[in-house]
Formats: sequence, structure tokens, C-alpha cells
Amino acid sequence: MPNSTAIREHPPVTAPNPAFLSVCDFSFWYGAKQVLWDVNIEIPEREITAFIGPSGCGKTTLLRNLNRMNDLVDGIRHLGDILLDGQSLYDPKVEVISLRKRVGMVFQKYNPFPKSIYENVVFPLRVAGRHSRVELDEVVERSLIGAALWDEVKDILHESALALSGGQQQRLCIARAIANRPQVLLMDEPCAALDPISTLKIEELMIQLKKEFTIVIVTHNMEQARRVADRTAFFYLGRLMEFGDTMDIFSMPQHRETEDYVSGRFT
Amino acid sequence: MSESGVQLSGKNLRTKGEIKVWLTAAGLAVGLMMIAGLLLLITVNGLRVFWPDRVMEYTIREADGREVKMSGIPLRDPPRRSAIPGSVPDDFQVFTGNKDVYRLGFRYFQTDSVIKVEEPKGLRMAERLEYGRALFYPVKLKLEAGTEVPASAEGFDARVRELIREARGRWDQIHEIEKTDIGGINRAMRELELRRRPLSAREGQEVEIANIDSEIAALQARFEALAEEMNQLRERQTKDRLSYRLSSGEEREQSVGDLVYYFAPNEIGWFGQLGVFLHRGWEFLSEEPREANMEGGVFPAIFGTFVMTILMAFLVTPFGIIAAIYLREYARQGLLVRTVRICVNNLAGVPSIVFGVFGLGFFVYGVGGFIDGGVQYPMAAPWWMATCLLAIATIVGAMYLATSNRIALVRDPLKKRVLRKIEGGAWVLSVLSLIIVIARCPYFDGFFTRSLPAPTFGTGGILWASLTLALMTLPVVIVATEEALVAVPRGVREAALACGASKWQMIQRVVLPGALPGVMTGIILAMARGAGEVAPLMITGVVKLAPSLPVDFTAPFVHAERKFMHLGFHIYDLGFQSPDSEGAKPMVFATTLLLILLVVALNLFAIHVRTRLRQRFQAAAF
Repeated sequence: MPNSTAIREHPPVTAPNPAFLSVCDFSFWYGAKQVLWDVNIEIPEREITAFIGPSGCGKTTLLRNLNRMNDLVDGIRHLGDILLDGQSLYDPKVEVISLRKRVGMVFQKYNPFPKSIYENVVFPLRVAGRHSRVELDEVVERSLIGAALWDEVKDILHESALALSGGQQQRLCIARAIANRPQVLLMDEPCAALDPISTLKIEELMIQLKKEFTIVIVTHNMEQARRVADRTAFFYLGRLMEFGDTMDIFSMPQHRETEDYVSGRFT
Repeated sequence: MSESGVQLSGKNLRTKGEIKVWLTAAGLAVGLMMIAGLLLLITVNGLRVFWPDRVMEYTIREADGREVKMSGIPLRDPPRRSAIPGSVPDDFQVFTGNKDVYRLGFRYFQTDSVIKVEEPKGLRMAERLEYGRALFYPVKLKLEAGTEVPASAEGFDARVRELIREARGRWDQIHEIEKTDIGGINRAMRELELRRRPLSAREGQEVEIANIDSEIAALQARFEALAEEMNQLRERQTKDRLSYRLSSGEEREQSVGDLVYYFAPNEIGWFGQLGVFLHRGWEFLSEEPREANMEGGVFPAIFGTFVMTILMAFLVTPFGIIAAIYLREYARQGLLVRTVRICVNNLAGVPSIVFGVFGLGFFVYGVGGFIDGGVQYPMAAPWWMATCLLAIATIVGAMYLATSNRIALVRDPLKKRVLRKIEGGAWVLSVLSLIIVIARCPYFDGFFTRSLPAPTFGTGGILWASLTLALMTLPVVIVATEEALVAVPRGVREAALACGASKWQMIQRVVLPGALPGVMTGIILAMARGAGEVAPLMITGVVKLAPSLPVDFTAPFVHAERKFMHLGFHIYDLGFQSPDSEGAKPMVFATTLLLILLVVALNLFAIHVRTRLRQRFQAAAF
């Protein structure tokens, strides 16, 4: 179903698209500073793809371009293109708002809205103009179950989201991100601000979620990439150095830099 | 060792900055002490007004050698001393009351002329509707029936109080008739007059005119009946009379109907004094003023201040928030926006009287005159039509460009920029042309043309005063709202956008609720500034004595065009415009205390709301 902007209610039964998100010759500038050089990457559907690399290597920048979050920054420029399911993100016919409904995002620092848990989860539906009580209730339950948070919060749905623990807040953010059934879920170091137990829960959750969503995760934690990712991309100084199956990247890296990085010789 | 130790500690004192800490602490302490002293002065003097002090009786030698007795409450103790000893005799101030006899309620006694001071028994103090308080020895009551009750009789005081209560009941009746019945008749008659006026100019309306005339006559008859009833009540008020003797021995008479309260200042105990204190305090809060505002209460002023402040808060909040949202969220942060921001900040420093003059010129004469009498300089009809068309065209054009991503679809960047400029220009032009369309419409003759030349909205009123103050406090709200908007974390903004919210949805659903406590802070500051402001009000609607309240039980209940009373102006009026400023001084303190309490109460309420909002919207510390 190329070029379709309809929101899927159920994952299609067709075979996963190996190039669901494809980045073609993508270069990117913040003002005069170039941060990405000719990146080419094909992210397969319903798998977890991890972006790793030292700080400042451009992995977060690329991630934030996948839902055009970088549009908020003044003075940005890009060359090349990014295709989601065959359609360019930069096509002027694509409204950024509808794009972001298809590409959800979870941030490094959990950022629930200062509202109730319920209102946090239904926020994407509310801004899409869907207010039917029955539908919202259903979405809240489904999303919170999906984010493995339902049992913990089902009795306090109408209390402030800010009273939850950090790990719970991050899972709430994941529930919010999947509430409107996006096709892609972007995760920008989702466990950076969490303790190991919460991290573990989120990782298990990601493995659950990949049955339905295409997940792209940026992580600094090599172990995490090894544990959850099907594919791993290694970025270095704004270039994609290596991209392949996680096992291959970690066990037999093709480049010197990759080997140094995954073995922890530099960060 | 010891030397280096000394050096070290000396250095220590300097490097640790102890002296500077002391200096800053001292600065703060001085400031706080001054504020606390001011508040203490106002509180003590404001509350003392209502406390019934003991009355003394002075025997003094007048300049001509006569010895006179006078009773009074010493106000200034110790005596006022002259700068050069002996040049002028020292004197002290005494509240003597009995303004009808002594012309002033106060007198300065020279210390060396006082022969004897004693605390007399049997003295009574009574508050009167006219001439303030009286200090006297009661002699007898002359009742309507012709009987007399001597002061020595059992239960004399209780009898007097009983009569006062009856008389006050009758006053209430009289006021009720005056305000409700006669007020209603007056309104109906004015309405009929207004209907009659245009008819008399036209032909063939004789029947209609006759109808109106007969209605007016019927109202007139009812009015006369009511007036007669009122006269009877008033007559009754003067029937019971109290005769009394002053300390000097002079005998006087006073109708009981003119008394407000009556007590024995030297005989009541502490609880009695407290009772009088509460009674007077309540009277001050709940009654209307009497005697050129020097006696009675300040209820209309409290109410006027309250209504005006609330109205102002409701007017300034939306404007301030809208302006701040555009400045902070939408406008490109460049030279222009920086300039605008500086101007907004400077607006807070413009003298308030300038705002008052602007309010008078723009709101009262401009907008008020427009509402009353319609357009002063109407456009020629064809030009007006053309402006209408321009307004419609620009609105439609701007909407066309703004919807369906039309500009974003244009490939050519130059064309895109031009289109953006056209869209913005169309919005600006549409607003301007709409203003012209409204302000110069040749078909609008005003809503109150009938009562012209008497103005309805075209004169000072509570709405215009509130709008003027709203304009004056706008910078405070804008600055506070901008700060609050900036403080909303980037994280939740991005989260909202990532959820597919448009920029406006993000602002409306996430940013504004998060910024609301900060906005409330701005409103609190604005209210604190606005409630105490006097200068701009003096020319936009405050009066010394307002005949009716701006909100009451006659339709349409809220009378935005009415003039009103204000505590701040009341202070100015009492202290500097009253015939007896010395006599009004206690009232100035009491009114000041009240104004401060009112501002504090309004602020406490707003702070309470803010705390509730914080609990709802802000993160628990983690």
C-alpha cells in the first residue's frame, strides 16, 4: 500500500518491506555546519534498528529527521531524500503533522505532559480531533497494555502523570507514542535517564513492540544494541560507517573504527 | 605563627565576604523595617478609629479669663511643643465632638490653660446622622405621646436605645422607598420622556403622545403618594426628642431619629468597648458615607474597588496572553520583536496619569461617544462599501493562502517568500480595513441617541476606568506570560509536536496550561498595581459620591457605564479635599487599612488559584 496515509488499525499480513524507511544520499547542515554526509540506509519493516556511534556523530540528527523534528531549528538545510513506505518525507504535499502521526517518537528524557495519565495517552487522538469516549477508553487500555504499564496504573488513570516513577513515565511516553498506531517508532536513547531495572523492562517492551512497529533506536549502550536490535548502524563523524545485522557488526566489524567502538576502546 | 594567623583571619573576613553579607542583610533589614513600620502605623491608626477611648472633662481658662468645662478625648499626647521654648504655648489636641456647637470636632488646648482634668461619670456619646458625634449628659426624653422620661429614671439608656432601633427601622423603610420604588418610577418616567421626545416633533402622533402623558401622570400620582408616605415617616423621626446638657452647662435638644448609636464611654467595660469597636467597624464596612464622606461607612468604595479590579483582571488577561503568545511563540525573534519588547517594558514606566488622559480621550470620548451617538465622521457610502469589499477580499485571500498547504506547495523559493509576504499583508490589511469599516460606518447612529446630549457611555464609567487600568497593567501581564512561556520545557513541546499536534495545538494544550501559574503571577502583580491606582481613575470614572453601585438588582444588573467610588480616591478625597481634613484623618487611616486589606485579599485569592494550578500542572520534585 504505497503512498497511503491512512492509519492502519492492524498490521498488514503481507511480508515486511525490507526498505520501509529508506534514506538516500542524505546530507544535513545546521547553519553552516555540516553534520551528515551522504547517508544511505534502508530500515526494514517491523524490526529494531539501532543507531550507535560516539557523541556528535549525527545519529540523533538523522533520527530527528525521520519525523522532521529538526524543522523546529532555524537555518537547517538538507540534500538527498528520505522515503517512508516509498513516499518522500519532504514532498510538499506531505503535511508535517500527518507525517508525525505516522512516525511516533520517544525522547531521551521522559517528558509526559503535566496532565493525567489518561489525558497523556489520548493526547495524539485528541489533537487528531477524535474525542469519542469509547474509542479513547479502548485506546488507553490497549496502549498501556502495549507499553506494559496497564497493571500498574489502571486504578490511577486520572491522576497526574508526574507522580509516576521515571521508568513508568518513560513507558507512559511509549504508550503515548503508540496510541495513534504509528508505523514507525523512533526512540532517542530511551533508557539514558533510567535505572537498570526500568531499562530492562523497556527493552523487553521493545521486543514486544517490534511485532507491530518498525523501531529505530539511538543508543549509547552497546549491550542494549546487542540485546534488542536486529540491525545496527554505526555512525562516525557524520558518516554511516557500517550497517548490517547486529551479530555481524559486533562479532566481525568491517571497519577499524567500528571495532574500536564496539569493543569499548573509544566512546 | 600568631602573626600569620591574624593575617589569615583578616584575609578570611575579606575573602569570605562577611562584611558584604552583613551589608546586604542590613539593606534588606532596613527596607523590611520601613515597610513593617508603615503597615504597623496604618494598622494601629486605622483600627484605633473605631475604639471608644475614655472621655475626660477639662476645665480650662479661656483667653478672656472665663473658666469653661469641656469634655473630650485627648488625641495627641504628649503635648505639641513649640520649636523655641516659650515662644508659643505648648498645646495638645482633643476630640470634642459636638460639631454643631463648637463648629469643629477638634480643639487644641494650651497646656497652661488647663486647670483641671477629670474622668466624668454619666457622660454619654452618641453618633448622629448629622454633625458627627456628640458628648453630653442626658437630661430627659420627650416622647411623641407628650410624656417625659427623666435621665435618672430606671432603664433610661435602654429606652433610648430602643427608640434608636425603631428610628433606624424607619430610616431603612425610607431608603427602601427612595431607592427601589421612587428609583423605579424615575427610570420609567425617563424612559417615557425619551419615547415622547421624538414623537412631539412629528405630525399625527397626538394619540400616542396623550397615552404617554397619561402614563406619566399615573406615575406622577404614584410618586406623590410615595413621597407623602416618606414625608410622614420623616416627620415621625423628629417626634421623640432627647434633651441633654453639655459639659459647659448649655442645654440642647436632639431628635432621637437622628441618632445612630448611643453608649456611655466611661462606664462600659472592656467588652463593652469591644462591642462598640465591632459595631463601628461593621458600620464602616457596610454603610454608605455621610457628611461629605467624613462619617458613615465606605461600602460603595469597597464594592467599586472590588468590581473595578476584577473587571480589569478579566480585561487584561486575554490581551496580555495573546500578545505574549505571539511575541514569544510566533514572531521571528529579530530586531523588530526586540524593539517591541523594549517598548512594552517601557510602557510600564509611563506615568499613570498619561494612561488616564489616553483613557479619557480614547475610551470615554472616542469609543464611548461612538457607542452613544454613532459615527462622528462617516465615510461617503461608496467609499465605505469599497472598504467593506476590501476587508472581505483580504480576509478571503489570506484564508485561501493559509489553508491546504498552498504556499508550501510552491517550488520557487522567491515566489514562496512573496506569497508569504502577501499572506501577512492581507491579514494586516483586513484588520485595518475592518477597524475603518466599524469606526466610519455611515449607517450607525449609536445605541443611545435618544438620550443625547446626556451621555450614557460617553462619560467616565467603571468600564472605561477598568479598560484604562487594563492598558496600564498590560506590560506586567505580557512580561510575566512571556517568562512563563519560555519556562515551559522544550521536552514537552517536542513531545506534543511528535504526537502530531500542530503548533497551535501544542501551545493551547501543553504550553499554555504549563505556563498558567506564571501567567497568574502576572495577573496578581497587575491587580496589585491596578487596585491601588488613583490618578487615571480620577478622569475616567471615579466620583466622590456615587448614587448607585455598578452592580445591583435592577436589570441589566451590571451597569458598566456607571460612575463608581474607589478606596484610593476616597483616601485622596478625605485627606485633601474635605472641609475638615483634621477631622477626616482617622477615616483616612481606616480607609487606607481597608484598601491594603482588599488588595491583600484579592492577591491571596489569586495566589490560592495559582497554587491549585501548580499542583495540577507542574511536576512533583523528583
